[in-house]
Amino acid sequence: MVIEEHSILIEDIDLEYHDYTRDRLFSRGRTSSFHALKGIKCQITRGENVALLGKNGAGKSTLLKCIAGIIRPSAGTISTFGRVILLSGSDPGFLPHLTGGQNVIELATAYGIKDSELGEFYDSVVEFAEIGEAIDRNFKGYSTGMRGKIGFGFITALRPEILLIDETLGVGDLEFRKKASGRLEEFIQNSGTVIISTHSLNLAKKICSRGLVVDKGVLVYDGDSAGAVDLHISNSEN
Amino acid sequence: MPNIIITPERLRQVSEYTQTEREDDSSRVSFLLKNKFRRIAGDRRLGVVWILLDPIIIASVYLFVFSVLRASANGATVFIGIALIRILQDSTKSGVNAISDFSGGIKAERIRTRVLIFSSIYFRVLDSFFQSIGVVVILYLAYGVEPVGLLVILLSSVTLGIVCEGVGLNLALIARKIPDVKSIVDYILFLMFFGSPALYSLSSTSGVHRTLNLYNPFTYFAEVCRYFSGLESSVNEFSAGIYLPLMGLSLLLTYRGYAKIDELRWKVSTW
Repeated sequence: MVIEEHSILIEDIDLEYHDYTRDRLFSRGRTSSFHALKGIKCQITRGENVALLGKNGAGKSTLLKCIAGIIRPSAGTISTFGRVILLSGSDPGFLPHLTGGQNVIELATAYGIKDSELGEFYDSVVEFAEIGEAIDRNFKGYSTGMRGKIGFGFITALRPEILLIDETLGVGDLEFRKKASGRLEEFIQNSGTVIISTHSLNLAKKICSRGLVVDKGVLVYDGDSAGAVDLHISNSEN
Repeated sequence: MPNIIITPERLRQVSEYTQTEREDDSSRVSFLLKNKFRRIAGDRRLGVVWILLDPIIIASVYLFVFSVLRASANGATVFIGIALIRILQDSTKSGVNAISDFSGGIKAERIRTRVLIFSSIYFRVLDSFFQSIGVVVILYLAYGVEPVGLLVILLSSVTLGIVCEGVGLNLALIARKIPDVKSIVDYILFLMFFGSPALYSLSSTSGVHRTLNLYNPFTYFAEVCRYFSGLESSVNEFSAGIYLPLMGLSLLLTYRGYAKIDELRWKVSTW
């Protein structure tokens, strides 16, 4: 069956956000709608690595959230075949009152890591994060970079069938970003489908065979990643 | 491997719900449940013990005020009423504000709605139990209430907690669209604290106040607990024509509230 080869099928997706705004302090205000995605349609094959490009506010994050089932489309259908993980920001749900180590263990079970795999999972995250003895300190005391390292290490250790990445490589210092790129490449080689929304165009070209460009909620390009990068650069310059 | 179809109406898993997924969901329920208690505990040294202490402290303060005013309040009556009304307030607010917690704290993956429902119900059971257990110990040690009375208080507390959260869930969508509803609910709960038979028994009320309380489900929980605790109670005067439909309606709203979580969660995701 053809459908089995697909990892993600997106059919004519529209999405509207609803918002309440008040013009003046004593006005009653009104509810308004904002069309964030318009008629998005594409198919992503199992094992494909796709770069999702577009300016800020183009609808990239909204599309990823929609695929992850976090937000509701107002029209159309999305079918996903496999477990979907959305890496957005650097926080898979860490708790401020627990230590980094406790967080990794507690969250790992919540993300379906079995007891028998827990040790290996923990080592993998801690080894990647390289935050030393801070792993035993309360998470709320961590810097943004430390949080990013643990968060990224955690999610890329999960091995989902579909991984959606939203700008996460922007966190941390240069060294971390290099390391994260390496881990991401390793992850992509070892696993399923990846859609990565990034401003790192070199990374997009290097690891993705295909590129999508979104502009004002509309999919304006679907082709090879080099073409997508060129169009994105041209759109950004205009 | 879950196969999911996402439409504007709902998110539906079309593949089989496997044993592994069932086990994962069970771990998540446990994780969410612990998180809810962790949030209450925060950095406080006594942690979740505050759940147990809260109704005892509030009831003690009111008993002190009554003694200053030379009002003849029965301590056991006040302890039972305060424990139950605090459960009513917390559970109703939790239901009305449920939308703020629909990710369950797991941010990288959508968790199944059944995980949210089970963790909410388990939390409500435990939270209501803890809120009443301290009072139950005091009623036993200081007021000599019989075990049957104590058991009825614990059962009533848990039932009241679930019912109030379920009823509150019915208001969650409208509270999301019109946040003023949350303030209105807060005022109603504040009024109920003093207007319901929490600090006094139903027999102390008269006229319109009494009539209104006969249509207040809280009255039945509080008075039944007092009755089985050997305290002054109006249980024998209750009319089945009022309390049976009232309880039936409450249970119906409770079921509707929990059953609608999936739809509610989906609807408000773009709000």
